[in-house]
Amino acid sequence: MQKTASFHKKHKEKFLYRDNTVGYIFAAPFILSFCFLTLVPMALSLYYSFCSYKIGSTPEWLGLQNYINLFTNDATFINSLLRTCQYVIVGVPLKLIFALLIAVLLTKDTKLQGFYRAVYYIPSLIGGSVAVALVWKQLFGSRGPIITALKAMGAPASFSFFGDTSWAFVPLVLCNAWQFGSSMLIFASGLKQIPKDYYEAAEIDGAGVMKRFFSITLPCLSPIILFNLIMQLISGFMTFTQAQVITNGGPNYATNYIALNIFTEGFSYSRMGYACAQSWVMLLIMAAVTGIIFKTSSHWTYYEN
Amino acid sequence: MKKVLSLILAIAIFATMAMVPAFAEEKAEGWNNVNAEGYTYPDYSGKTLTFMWWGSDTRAKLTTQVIELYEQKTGIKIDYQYYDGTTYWTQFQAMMAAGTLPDVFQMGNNWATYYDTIQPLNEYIDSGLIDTTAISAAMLATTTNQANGDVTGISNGTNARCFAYNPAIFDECGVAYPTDNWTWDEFAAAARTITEKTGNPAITTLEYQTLIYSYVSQYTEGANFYAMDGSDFDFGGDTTSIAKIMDLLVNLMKEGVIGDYGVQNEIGTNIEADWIATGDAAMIMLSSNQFQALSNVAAENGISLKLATLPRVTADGPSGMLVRSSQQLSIYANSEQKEIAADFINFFENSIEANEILQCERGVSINSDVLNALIADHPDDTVNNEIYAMINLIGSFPDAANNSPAEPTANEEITNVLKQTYIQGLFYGKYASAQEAADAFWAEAQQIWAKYEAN
Amino acid sequence: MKTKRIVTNVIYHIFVIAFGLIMIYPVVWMILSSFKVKSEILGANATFWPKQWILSNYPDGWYGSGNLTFGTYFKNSAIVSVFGMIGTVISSAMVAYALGRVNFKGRKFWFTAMIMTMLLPGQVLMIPQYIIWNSLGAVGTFIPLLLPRFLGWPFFIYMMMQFVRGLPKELDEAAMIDGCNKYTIFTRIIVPLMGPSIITTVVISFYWIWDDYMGPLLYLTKPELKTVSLAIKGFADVQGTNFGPMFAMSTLSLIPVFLLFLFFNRYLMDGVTAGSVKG
Repeated sequence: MQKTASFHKKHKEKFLYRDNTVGYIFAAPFILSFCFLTLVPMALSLYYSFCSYKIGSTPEWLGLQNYINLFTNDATFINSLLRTCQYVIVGVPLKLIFALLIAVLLTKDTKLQGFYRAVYYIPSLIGGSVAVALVWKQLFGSRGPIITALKAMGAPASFSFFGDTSWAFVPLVLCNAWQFGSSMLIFASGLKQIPKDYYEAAEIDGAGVMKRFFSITLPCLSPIILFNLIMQLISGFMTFTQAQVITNGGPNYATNYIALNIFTEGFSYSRMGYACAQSWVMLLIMAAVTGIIFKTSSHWTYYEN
Repeated sequence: MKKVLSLILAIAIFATMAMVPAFAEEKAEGWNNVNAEGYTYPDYSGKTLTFMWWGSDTRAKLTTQVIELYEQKTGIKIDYQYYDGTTYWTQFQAMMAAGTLPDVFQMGNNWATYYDTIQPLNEYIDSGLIDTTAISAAMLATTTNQANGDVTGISNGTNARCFAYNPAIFDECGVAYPTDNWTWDEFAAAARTITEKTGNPAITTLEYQTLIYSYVSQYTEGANFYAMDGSDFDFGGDTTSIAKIMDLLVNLMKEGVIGDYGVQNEIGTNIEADWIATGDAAMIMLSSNQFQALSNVAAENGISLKLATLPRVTADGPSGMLVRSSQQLSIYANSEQKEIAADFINFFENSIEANEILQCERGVSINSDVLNALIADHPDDTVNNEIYAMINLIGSFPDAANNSPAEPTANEEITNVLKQTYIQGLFYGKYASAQEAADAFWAEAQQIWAKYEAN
Repeated sequence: MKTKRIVTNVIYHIFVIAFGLIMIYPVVWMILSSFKVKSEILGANATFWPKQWILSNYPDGWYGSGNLTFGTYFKNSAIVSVFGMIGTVISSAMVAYALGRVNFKGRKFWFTAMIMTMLLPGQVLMIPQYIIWNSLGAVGTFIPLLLPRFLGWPFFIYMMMQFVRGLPKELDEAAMIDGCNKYTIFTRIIVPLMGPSIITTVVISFYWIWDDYMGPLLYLTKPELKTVSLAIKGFADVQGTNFGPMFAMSTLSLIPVFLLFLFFNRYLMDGVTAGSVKG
């Protein structure tokens, strides 16, 4: 009797404590949301991307026509892809370097550390609000302080950020970099996890500030850098609010980023199928880029185990 | 640290348990229904009507007052939602996809795009449920599908695209005020002089597509860009007129007489941020129902503004201008209570009491009884009287009734490419000449049209 | 040596303060603008410092939209953000533990699925998701905004995973010997050690939900359910934007988020637990 009971107990334990059981119990929330809130809508959107679908009507099957049109007969789409890449290539590294440097700067133990960090974090709290857009327009506007300063330093009298197709993205990139708060926070909490004795040991060995940064901080932070890089790439590729409220895609499509283009096609022109096809192209590009980064990440990220 | 975490967890568990009642609580509470005695509205008390509009918070305040008035009079409860003008359409499309549009919704001149969702009002007008006796036929026509006579909604009021100007700057620069039939040449000369003397752009906000479509009507003496019923293009494909006006506008922009895209973008849709409000620019192109808000800001800077017509090709030629419906109230085609919806629209458009609250904020009322009552209420309201006078003036132009108000489904896309691809492209030197840009625009406009035809 | 340190310190503080001023200039501009009359906010007459201080933007904004006050909107924002944040922390920590620490069949697949979810542009899923919620009758309630938060948020799952993976494996083994099982390891060992990343999640998820505009726009279709971010947008319209009240309410809406940050900032900085783990 006793033997069977303990056998059952052991068996039950085995099932409940098996890695597979534990894993699926803990991952259950995500699995649920993935199936119902991601997979189903995704399947729908993939289906729409092969259709002509006007909101409110029934989708009509087109086959590959949408995708063919995208690459053969849509200069606006190709342009928006290129402009998005420009934004990502310039904007993402800028924001990350900024966030990392500030995070490192603010690890210095002073009484004011909390205050400083709060000050640097405030910009990120106001998000993509209308107020930010207005301030930004004012700052970089034709009568704003930045243009005035640039002209005093010899910029041509007709120079303007928002009126120039090759400069209009600069305020957007800077606005994005300015809101580095969440990346900074993530870096900061990563920095906290680096054991102090690593630095102490390095200091005893006579390593300078730079040496310590490159041989301890960067390697220890590399998983966090990978995380921030991936997240910023994604949000960079999907940048929408700032381009919509600050430049509205202009001038002459200079800041018409892909997410903005998708929104216009889908909601202004009611061509949901075509918009879905654009999203899928964008998705594939992003998947390729992140895939490459993940593949190479094992060479430059460092985990303790 | 641990304490904080266990605190968070404790709150979490508590919160999860509290969730269910929190949702239940969100069920709306009932309104206090008071039925006015002897009121002639049919007794629908206890029913709920849904209603959605876009607009500013001022509009929201006025509209909710009217809603409360209606609720008091009829005992009908109105569930309403409102959004700003841009996001309204996102919400609208989502609701359209899900089939959950409200019984009554505000609709723009783009009603052709949403035609399938709109219930024609003809039967309610015929039965007298919606009273149109004090509404002019011309205004009813602007919300009517000319192809089959379906009335898609009742206009909330009229407006017209026109100019506003600052007489003080004109005086200062020794330039004559715009006349009711001023020409493009006079406009360009005045603007150039003002820019030369003040060092600022003379005008920063322009609605290019309206100017171009209006120029087409003026130049061809009667042909429109779009046909009256919106079923096709009308002007026959001769792009000379489009090229001429594009050339003029882009040149003025290059000379700095019209503010460049940087300045235009800074102002964006915030008309109160226009340079005219601060006394820097002398002119602005606007919708007549924006004049009130603009005048209020300008007044803070001690500036008073006047309205003027759009310039025309020749002084004795057609004006190319028209009085349009600013927006309309429509009934959802799948609404289950269309009579109540029609009754509400009737109240909203025709009740003097309601419109004394609404104050023509959506546009000049199309009901002559209502308008006369409002004018009688405020004889000294110079800003609104200026608007009424301008609407009357434009209505009196012989060609006004023949200028097309149509905004076909393809219009939004055609307008967007006109502005972003072709006018801006010409400005940034992507086309050798205005004629080349105009021809390219016309070719793409036809392509876009075909895309919508195919659907 | 000592003077050198003082000089470095002074330079450090001057630099951090000067740069900080540049950083918060736009925010200060917004706050000051909430005390200005309209004509001083934008245009040529715009000044940084109000010429004429007024307070009326605050009551104007508070009572400014329809027959509801911002009290209602703040309550709604608080409901959505507090419960949403709690849901995010619990569910994301669980999933991060599973994906980062437990060796179960299909882990790689679910990890890829999570990354793919992060990559998806929101616009693609917006309409299908709306249709699904609508068919469940949940539009016009908080459910479409809250329920998904209790089902893990890929951004935070991934972030916490990075922390979980950084914790030494020996801890688990030691805990097992002390009589812990896979569940108690999570609650007793992993969660306390994830401290900084949990606090980060609390702060960031709270303000992201607080700031969210698209979600409330689509799902909180009744005026009495509007959140602050949605209500603030209501001040802006083509027929005239009430900048003063808009900035006044934007300023007020910063306060809860800022207070939350100030409160948790201390714990972010302490990092006591993190320090004691390693080594």
